[in-house]
Amino acid sequence: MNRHLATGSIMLIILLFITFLGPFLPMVDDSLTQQGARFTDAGIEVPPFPPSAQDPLGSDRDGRDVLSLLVAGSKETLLVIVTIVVIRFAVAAILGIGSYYSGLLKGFLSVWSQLFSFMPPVFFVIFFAGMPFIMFSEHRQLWLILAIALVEVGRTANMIRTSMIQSSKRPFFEAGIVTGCSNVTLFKAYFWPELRLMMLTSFVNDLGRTLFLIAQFAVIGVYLQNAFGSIRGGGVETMNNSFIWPSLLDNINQDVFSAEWVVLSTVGFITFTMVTFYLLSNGIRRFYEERYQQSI
Amino acid sequence: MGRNIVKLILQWLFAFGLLFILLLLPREMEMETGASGEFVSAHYTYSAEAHVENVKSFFIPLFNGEGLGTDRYDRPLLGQAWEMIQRSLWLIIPAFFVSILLGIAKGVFDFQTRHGKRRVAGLQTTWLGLSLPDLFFIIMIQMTMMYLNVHGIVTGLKLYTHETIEAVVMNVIYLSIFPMFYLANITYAALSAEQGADYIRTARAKGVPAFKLLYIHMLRNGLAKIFVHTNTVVLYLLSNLFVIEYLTQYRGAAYYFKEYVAASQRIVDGQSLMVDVGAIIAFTLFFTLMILFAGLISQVARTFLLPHERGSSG
Repeated sequence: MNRHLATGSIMLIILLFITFLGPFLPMVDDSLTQQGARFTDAGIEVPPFPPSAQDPLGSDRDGRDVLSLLVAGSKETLLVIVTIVVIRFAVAAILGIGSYYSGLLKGFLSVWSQLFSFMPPVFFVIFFAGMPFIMFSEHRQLWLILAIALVEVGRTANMIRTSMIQSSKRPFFEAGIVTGCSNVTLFKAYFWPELRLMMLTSFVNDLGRTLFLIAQFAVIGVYLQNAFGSIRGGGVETMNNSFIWPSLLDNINQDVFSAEWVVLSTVGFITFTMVTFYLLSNGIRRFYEERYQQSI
Repeated sequence: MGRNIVKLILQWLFAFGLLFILLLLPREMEMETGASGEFVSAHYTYSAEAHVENVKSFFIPLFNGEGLGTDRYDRPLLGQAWEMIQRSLWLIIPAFFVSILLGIAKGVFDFQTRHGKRRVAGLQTTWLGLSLPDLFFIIMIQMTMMYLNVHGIVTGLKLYTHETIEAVVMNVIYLSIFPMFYLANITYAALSAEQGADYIRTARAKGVPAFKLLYIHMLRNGLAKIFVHTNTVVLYLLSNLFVIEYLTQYRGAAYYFKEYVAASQRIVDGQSLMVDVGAIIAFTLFFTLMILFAGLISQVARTFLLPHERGSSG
């Protein structure tokens, strides 16, 4: 029994259910109404409201229901992380597979990954977000998604390259060359089966890691989505305007003292999603390993 | 070894140089405003002359012995930056050693308890530590501390500052969590890989006790594989440093790096507020140098530990 795959799949189904059917649930307020004060028997309450029958996970500082916020943000959250990882793997596949065949790409990949090895991901993205041509760009969100995707392209491409080099050292690969396979057949029949498994598992794993990275940015106040707000007296500043999960960690330094339910629910959702992808990635690997061993 | 070290230093020069030039990009923007002065859009046009001028004006005070210039309160940036870097060093250096020592110890423990019920405490906890975000652990610890404080069990700790020892200790713990589990996993894998090797069988056949076998033979050979990852550990530490300094209001290099860069997200009267470029460059130098040192340590450790590299003179 592959427990990892089974648990991971169940958790993924729950996640997809929350994402796509969540907005129709009765306790989810789809319009995200803000509430100033509430009059109860005990007197007047002001937001953030603690968890109650009305707000199962409490409310944020604007009186919006946290559960509704999380449900409303899940589609966007998943979209952002999938986009980042798809871009990363598309570029990494070209670089990784290409560098096996072309010396030029190999040199490029080596310079690229050495360059980025001197830049911790969080450092690079803060740095990049502060570049003058990014800061007030209309496409800022795209730029930052690209930056987060690219910062780990070197690692992924090297993984692909290493997998191919390892495959090429095996006896069965020599047999393929001796029988006169063309490069295309060699790739399709000899490299791809192993490469596919490696890419699939690390793709799923990267989804969780990317979510965590975005959460880290939110904690320090770097957002993917930005609106521009005018400052009185002539000026402009950037602010966050999306409901993506990590943006709920915006106020973490105060919330952790006075509205801990906001932090706990958000971190809970993020943790749940990360564990889902981690389990799935391990489960898929085991599934193929077991099948492969049975077929011998 | 020598060639690799020179190569590493050249790579560092290239990476830092690139960041340096990007940081000194001219920051003038054309703002488009509406009828009542509200923001409509901003356009950026690059001018090579302004860029060269920026680079020049960075080097002039440096050559005149004025350091990196002054901040908006006329305090010298160099001294300030150095003070913040020292604060961050108080976190990074202990966290580096703590995560390496505890990580290897945890990996050895996981290896010893890999069979039977005890793996719940060994492999399973490492698995949990790798799959959960460290933010989760940090918030749990923070809330526990707060609970203890509210109930009068542990009081009088100042944790949200850079000035007390307890704040430094807690931050070192927060920082080391993920790298520790990461290294535990690597150590376990390295030990498992040594398991079937011929020299282990020979040693066992000669009657070497299990304890000696693990610590003298396997770990010694495994260390080479573990030290390859010191680079990654430092990268994780530095990346996490930004989050942890921000989360605990620890005013170190990472905290101010982000603050100074974020200052550029406001434009008042058409002028970007990013004025402390000197300090940002000092911090960038510091972060990349830390990674360079980690690379050098990794390189030297490998040369002494890897059997086939030990013999070579290169």
